[in-house]
Amino acid sequence: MAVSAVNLQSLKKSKDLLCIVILALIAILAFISRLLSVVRFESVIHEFDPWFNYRATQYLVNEGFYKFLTWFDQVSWYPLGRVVGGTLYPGIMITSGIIYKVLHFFNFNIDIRHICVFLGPVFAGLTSIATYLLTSEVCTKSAGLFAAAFVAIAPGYISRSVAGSYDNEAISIFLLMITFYFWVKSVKTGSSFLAACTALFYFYMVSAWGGYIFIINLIPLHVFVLLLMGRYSKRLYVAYSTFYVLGTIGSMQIPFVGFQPATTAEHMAALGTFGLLQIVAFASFCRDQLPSESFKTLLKRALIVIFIIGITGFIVLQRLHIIDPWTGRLYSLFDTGYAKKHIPIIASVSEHQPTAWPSFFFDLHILVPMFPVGVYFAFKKLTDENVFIILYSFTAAYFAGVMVRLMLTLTPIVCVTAGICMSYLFDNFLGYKKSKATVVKVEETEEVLSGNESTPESPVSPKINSPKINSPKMTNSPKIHNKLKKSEHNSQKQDNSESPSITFEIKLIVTLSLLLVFCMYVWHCTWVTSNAYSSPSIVLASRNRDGSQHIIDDFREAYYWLRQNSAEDAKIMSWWDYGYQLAGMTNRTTLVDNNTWNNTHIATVGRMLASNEENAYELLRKHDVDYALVMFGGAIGYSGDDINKFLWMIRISENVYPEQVKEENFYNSRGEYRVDDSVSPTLRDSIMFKMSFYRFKDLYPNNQAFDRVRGTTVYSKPIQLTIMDEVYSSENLLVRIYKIKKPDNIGRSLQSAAVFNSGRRRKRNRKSRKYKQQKIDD
Amino acid sequence: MQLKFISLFIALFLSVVNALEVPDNVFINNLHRQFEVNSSVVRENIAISVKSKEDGANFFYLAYKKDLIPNISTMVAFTKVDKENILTITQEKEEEDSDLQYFKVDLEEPLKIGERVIVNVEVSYVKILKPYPKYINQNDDQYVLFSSNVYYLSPYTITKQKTTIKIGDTIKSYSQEPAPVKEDDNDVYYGPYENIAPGTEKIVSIHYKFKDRLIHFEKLDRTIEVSHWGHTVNFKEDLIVHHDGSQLKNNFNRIAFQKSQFYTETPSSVKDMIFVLPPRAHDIFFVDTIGNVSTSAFHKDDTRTLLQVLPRYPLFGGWKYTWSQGYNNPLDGNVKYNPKIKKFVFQAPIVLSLKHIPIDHFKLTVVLPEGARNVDIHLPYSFDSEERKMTYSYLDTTGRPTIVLEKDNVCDDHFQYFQISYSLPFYFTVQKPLVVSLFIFSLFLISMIWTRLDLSIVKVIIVFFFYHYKNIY
Repeated sequence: MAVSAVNLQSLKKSKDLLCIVILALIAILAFISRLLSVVRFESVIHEFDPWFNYRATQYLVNEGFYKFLTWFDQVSWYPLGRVVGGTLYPGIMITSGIIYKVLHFFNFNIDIRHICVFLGPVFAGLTSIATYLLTSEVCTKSAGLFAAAFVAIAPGYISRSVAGSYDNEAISIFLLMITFYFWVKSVKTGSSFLAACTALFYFYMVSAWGGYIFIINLIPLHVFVLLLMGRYSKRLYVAYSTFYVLGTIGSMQIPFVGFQPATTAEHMAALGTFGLLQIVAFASFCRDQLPSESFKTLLKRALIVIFIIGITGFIVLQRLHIIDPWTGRLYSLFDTGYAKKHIPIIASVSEHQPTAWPSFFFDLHILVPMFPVGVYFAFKKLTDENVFIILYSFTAAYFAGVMVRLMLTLTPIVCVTAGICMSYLFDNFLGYKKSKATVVKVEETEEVLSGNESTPESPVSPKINSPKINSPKMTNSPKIHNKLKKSEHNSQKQDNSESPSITFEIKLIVTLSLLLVFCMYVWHCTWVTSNAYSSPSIVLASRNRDGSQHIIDDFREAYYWLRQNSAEDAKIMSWWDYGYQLAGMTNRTTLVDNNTWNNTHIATVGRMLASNEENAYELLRKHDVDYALVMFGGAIGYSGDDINKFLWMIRISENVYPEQVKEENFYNSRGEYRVDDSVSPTLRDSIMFKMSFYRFKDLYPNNQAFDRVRGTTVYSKPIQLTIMDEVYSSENLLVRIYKIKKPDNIGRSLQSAAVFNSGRRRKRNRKSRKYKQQKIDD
Repeated sequence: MQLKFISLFIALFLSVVNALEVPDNVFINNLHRQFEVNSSVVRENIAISVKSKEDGANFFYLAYKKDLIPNISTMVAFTKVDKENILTITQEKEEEDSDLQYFKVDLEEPLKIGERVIVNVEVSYVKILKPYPKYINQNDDQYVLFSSNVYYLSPYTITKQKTTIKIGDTIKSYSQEPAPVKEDDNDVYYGPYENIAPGTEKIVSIHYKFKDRLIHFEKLDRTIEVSHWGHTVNFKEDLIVHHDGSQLKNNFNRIAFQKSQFYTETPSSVKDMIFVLPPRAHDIFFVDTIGNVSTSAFHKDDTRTLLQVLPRYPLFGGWKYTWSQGYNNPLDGNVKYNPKIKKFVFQAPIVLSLKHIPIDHFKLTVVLPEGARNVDIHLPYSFDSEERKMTYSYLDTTGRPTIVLEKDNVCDDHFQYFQISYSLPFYFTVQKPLVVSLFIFSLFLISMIWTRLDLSIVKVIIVFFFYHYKNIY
C-alpha cells in the first residue's frame, strides 16, 4: 500500500501534465476540424452577416477606433443610411482589430481577411478550454476533459464557428462558457475578484452578441432559485452583488446597449434579483442578531409581499411605458406562433423556425441521450454549481426547441452534462487497479484520464456508487442490467469498499461499447462538418460525373462585375438577404440589408418587386435605383432563389402595405403558387417574375423551358420588360442584374414608348405596303 | 496647289514661331515609314536617309506633335550599318507656344557635306487605335480606326517619302487622298511623295478589322520578394485590365453568349489571358478582391509554366477587371553568388505581361532580404522614378531594403531583364533565430519574475501573525 501511495503522488503530478497536454490537443483538434471549409473551398468570408462584420472590421482597421464608433454608413439603407457605430455589437470587430494591430506591431503582416476567417476556429479552441474549466469546476477534471472533447467537435457549435464564419456567435460561445465558469467559481468561493472577472467577461460578451440577455437572466435565475431553496450564503451575496453592479455598468458602455439595462424588461429580472438579494441579506443579518421563530415567518411573509409588490410595480411601469415592453423577437421565444402572425420578417428567416427533432440528433448525436443522464447526476448531488447546470440545461433546452438558432446555446451545456455522465460511467467501469487490460485499451484514446483518475479523486464515494450506476444502466443496456444486479449482490457479499464490484467482462463490454459510441460520434461530427457546415454558401459546389468537384461561383462573378463595371455611386435594389454581401463585395449602395432595422423600408422593396412594371418604375425612380438584382435558380436548380422567397416578401410588404400588396392575388385560381401557364396574373406582371424569367425561354429549344427548382414548365408567352435592360447575368443565370432605364425623353411612360416604338414600325410597314399595292394597281 | 500653299504657309508660320532654332544642317533625301497596326501596340519603323548640307553635321532633329507624346512608349534609333549600336535620343526642352516637341538624334560620326547616312527610328505607340463604331453587337467583329499624318513631320525638307501601313486583315475603308494610294494584300501604300516642305500635315485614316485583343493594363504593380531564408523568390502582380474595344449596343446577353459558344465566337470579347511563368514556378495563385477565382488553370512542362487567367466574366468593350496573381520560384533560379565581386546577383525580367498589351502605369517593387547592403541596381532603360525604403515583414528587426521603380507607358519593348547585386552580412543566418530566442527568453524571464512576485494583501497578515508567533515563543 505504501508503494502505491508513493506512486499515486508521482502519478498526480504527471497527471496534471497529461491533463494539460490532452486539453491542448483537444483545443488544436477543435481548431483543425473547423478548417475543412478552407481545405474544401478557400479562405473566404462565409454567408451573409459575416460579410458585414468583415466590412466593419476593415473600417475599424483602416479608420481607427473612434471613427468606427461614430460610423455613419451611407452605403446601406439608401436613402436613410445607418448609424453603424451605435447599432452593432463591436466585440468581434474589436477582437480581430486588436489581433491585427498586435501582429502588425510584431511585423507579422497578416491580411485582415485571414484574421477574420480564422477567428472562429481559434475561439473554438478557447471554448473547449473554457468548457473544461466549467465542467471541472462543477464535477471532476475527467468530466471536464470529456466535455472539452465533446464541445470541440459538436456539430451544433461547429455550424457557427467554421473558418470563414466570422459572426458574433463565433466568439460568444467562448465568452458564455468563461463567464459561467467564473460565475460558478465565484459562487463557490465567494471571491469578489472572481465575481469581477465574471463581470469583465460579461462585459466582453455584451460587446459581442445580443445573446448576453441569456446570461443576465440565467445568473439571476440561479440566484433566485438558490434563495428559494434556502441556500442563501455570504458567498452568493458577494458574488452576485459584485457581478451585477460591475457587469451592468460595463454593459452600459456599449453604445448599442446604452441605458437598456435600466429601462427594458429583459434586464428587470436581474435588477429585481439584486434588490431581493439585498433584502435577504439584510434579513439574514437581522436573523443573526435576533434568532427567533416568529421572525422567520415574518420574514417569509415580508418576502412574499415584496416579491408581489415588485412584480406588480414592474407591470405597472411597463404599462406606463417607463420600462420598454418586450421586443417582438423575445415574444416569439415564448409564443412560437407570434412571429408568423405579427412580424413576418422574423418568421421568414429559416434559423428562427422552431427546431425539428432530427436536427437535435444531427447537431448533437449521441449527446442527446447523455444529456438527461448528466442532468440526473447533477440532481443527485445538488450543490450550488449543479443547480446552475440544471437551470442552464432546462432553459437552454427550451429555447433550442423554440428556435433553431438557439441550438448554439444548448450545445455547450449538453457537452458539459454529457461529460459529467461519461465521467461517472467511466469512473465506475474502469477501476484501473483491477483491470489493467481495459486501461491499456482506453489509453489509446484521449479519454485515458477518466480511468486514471477514478479511484483517488472520484467525487462519488464507493459506497454510494452502486445505486448510481443503476440509472445509466437502465437507460443504456437492459442486457447488462441483469448481470449488474448479480454483481451488485457479489459486492454486497464482498463488502469491499475499495474496488467497485463489477466483473471484468462487464467492464470490458461497457467500455468497448462506449468507445464504439465515441467513434460513431467522431465519425458523425466529421461527416456533418465536411458535408453540411463547411460550405461558404457564396460558393456552391457540385460534383461532376467523374466525381471531381465543380465550383459554381455565380454570386461572386456577378458581384464582381458590378464592382468593376458600375458607377461608384450606383444604387442597387435587391431583397435584403443580399444586402450585406452586396455592400461587402460590390462596394455599392444598397436599399436594404440583413440588419433589418427598418421593416417599412424592407416592405417597400418587397412592394417594388411585387408590383407591375408601371408602379414599380415609379417606386424605383423615387429611390434612385440604378440596378436591380435577383437570384434565379431555375436554370441550375438552386432552391434558395428569390421566386421561392417571394411569398415571404409579399407577406412582409402586405403587413405594411395591405392595400397595395395582397398575398392571395399571387395564387392562381386553384389557390396554387405556380410559375407555369396557370400562373396568377398578378404574379405574372410582377417585376420579380419578369426579371427572373426574362429571356429564360431562349435557353431551351422549341419553347420547352423548364424550371428545375419548381419542377415545372415555365409560362410560355414571351416576357416584355420595358422599364429595365438586362445588363448582366452570371454563368448559370443564378444572379441577374438589370439596369433601370432613364425616363422617356418626351415624358411618355416607358411602356407606351415601347408600344409606340414597336407599333410605329408595323404601321410604317403597312403604309409602305399599301403604297406599293397602289402602285401596282396603278 | 492649294494644299502646297497651305503647307508652305504652315511651314513659314512654324519657322517664325518656333523658339527652338533647328539648324538647317541636313535634309532628308529619302524616307520610308512603315506602320504595323495589328496589335494594341502600334509600331512605326522609319528609315531616314539623312544627307548633310554642311561639313561636320553630327546631329539631326525629329519632330512630334505634343498631343502624341503621351502615346509614345519607346523610341529607338540606330544606323542601318550597325544595328547593335543605339544612337542617343534626347528630348528637347518643352516650349509652351509650340505644338511640336523635338528630339535630337546624335550621330556617331560627323557627316561631310553631301554625305548620306541611313538611320532607322523605331517608335511604339500605345492607345492610339480608336474602336469604331463605338457600339457593336455581342457577336460582331471588332473594327478600329487608325489615323496618322501620312507625311513624316520633320523640320527638314523631305525629297522623297513613302508610307506603308501593314494591316494583315480585312480593310473596310481607307483615305484615298493624297494620291497615289494603293491597297495590296491587306496593306495600304501611300506615296511616293516628293519634296515635302517641313511641317506638312495630312491626316489619313484606315478602318479595318482588328483581330488581336484591344485591351490595356491600367496599372500593373509587380512585387518581387527575395527570401534567402525561405529559399524562394516571391513574385506577385496586381493588375487592372481595361477593354478598350467597342461597347455593347444592347448590353450583355448571357443566354445568347452561352449559346454562341457552341457555334460562333464573340470575337470582340476577351475570355482569358495566358501568362508564361518560369518552369519551376510553384504555389501559383490567382485571386481578386473577393477571393480565389476558381476558373483559372495552369499547365506545366519542362520549359515553362502557363498560367491561364480566366476573369470571372468575359471582358467586353468598356469593361474592367482587377486581380492579383503570383508564384514562387526557387532562389537559385534568380539569384547567383558572384565570387568575383563577392556579392549576390539577382536577375529577373522587369515585367511579366502579355505580348502587345500596353501598361499605363507600371510599378516594380523589389524587396531584398533583411540586412542586404551595397545594393546596386542595373536597369536596361531608365525609369520615371526610383525610391529606396525599408519594409518590415515577418520577424524583421532592421528591415528589408526595398527599391520602388515606376514607369508609365510600358510595352513589349520593355520586357527585359534587370540585375540587382547586394551583399549579406556575416550574421545574416543567425539574426532571425536570435531575435526569436531572445523574445522567448524574455517571455520566460517575465514569467519567472511574475511567479515570484506576490502582491497579495493577505500575505502581510500572515507575516504579521508569524511575527507574533515567533515573539510568543
